[in-house]
Amino acid sequence: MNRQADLEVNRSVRRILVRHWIDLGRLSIRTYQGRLSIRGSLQRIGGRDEDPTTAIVEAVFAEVKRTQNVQHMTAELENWTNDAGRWIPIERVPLKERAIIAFSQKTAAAGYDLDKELKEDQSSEEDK
Amino acid sequence: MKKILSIDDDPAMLKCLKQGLESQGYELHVTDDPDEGLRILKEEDIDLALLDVYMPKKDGFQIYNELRQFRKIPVLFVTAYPRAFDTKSNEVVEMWQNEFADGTTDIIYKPFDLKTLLEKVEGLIDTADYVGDEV
Repeated sequence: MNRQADLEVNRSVRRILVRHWIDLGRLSIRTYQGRLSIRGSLQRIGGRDEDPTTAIVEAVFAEVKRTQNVQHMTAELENWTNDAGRWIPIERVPLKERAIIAFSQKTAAAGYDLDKELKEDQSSEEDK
Repeated sequence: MKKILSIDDDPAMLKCLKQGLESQGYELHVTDDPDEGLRILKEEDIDLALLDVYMPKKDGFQIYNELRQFRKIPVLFVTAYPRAFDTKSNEVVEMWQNEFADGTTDIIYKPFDLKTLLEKVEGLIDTADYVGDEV
């Protein structure tokens, strides 16, 4: 994956966000070798005061995931979280769960697969 | 070396941008005069423009619209006022739909840290290489 392809991903993501009136100033978009990272706060620009609904957030990320050359995507958002494929506004998630989700997202971004490691741990315990 | 032009009337911001971006290997040109900035953008081979939004002589949106008449280089708006992009203004709506929609423009809100600035700059700066920067 070359740098131009990564830049084209960034550009396509900005296009999608603009089409949905999402405030670019509150997000940081990075792509490296097809791995896209979006962090910050997902809000609409001024004058479009209604917060993005779950349907809008799902539509945005569905489009983003379909973007050409996106091989993997992580989104670390201050106000939305993804729980088993469902986007949830963060204020509706209990604090303890938020911490667990944030930890899982960080480990996933670092390349760890916690589920896989837990399963491996369990099977090695069972072998003993 | 990639060349960036910052047009901003805040000397402290210009100094801060210069230190931050030059430490990362960018060549930063600065001016607080919008007309001088537009002249530089016309005559020099600038890769990215950083535009302050509110300036007394000419605001960032006017500079942006004039720039888009002759060049399509990436632009990063730098402002402390998210409300600057209020879509109750027709000017903002038109800009958003006609110019931002091509993905070569971004926004950064003050205050920001160097990491965020560099992410924005690195994610934008070479966009012109493949979109073709001449209008």
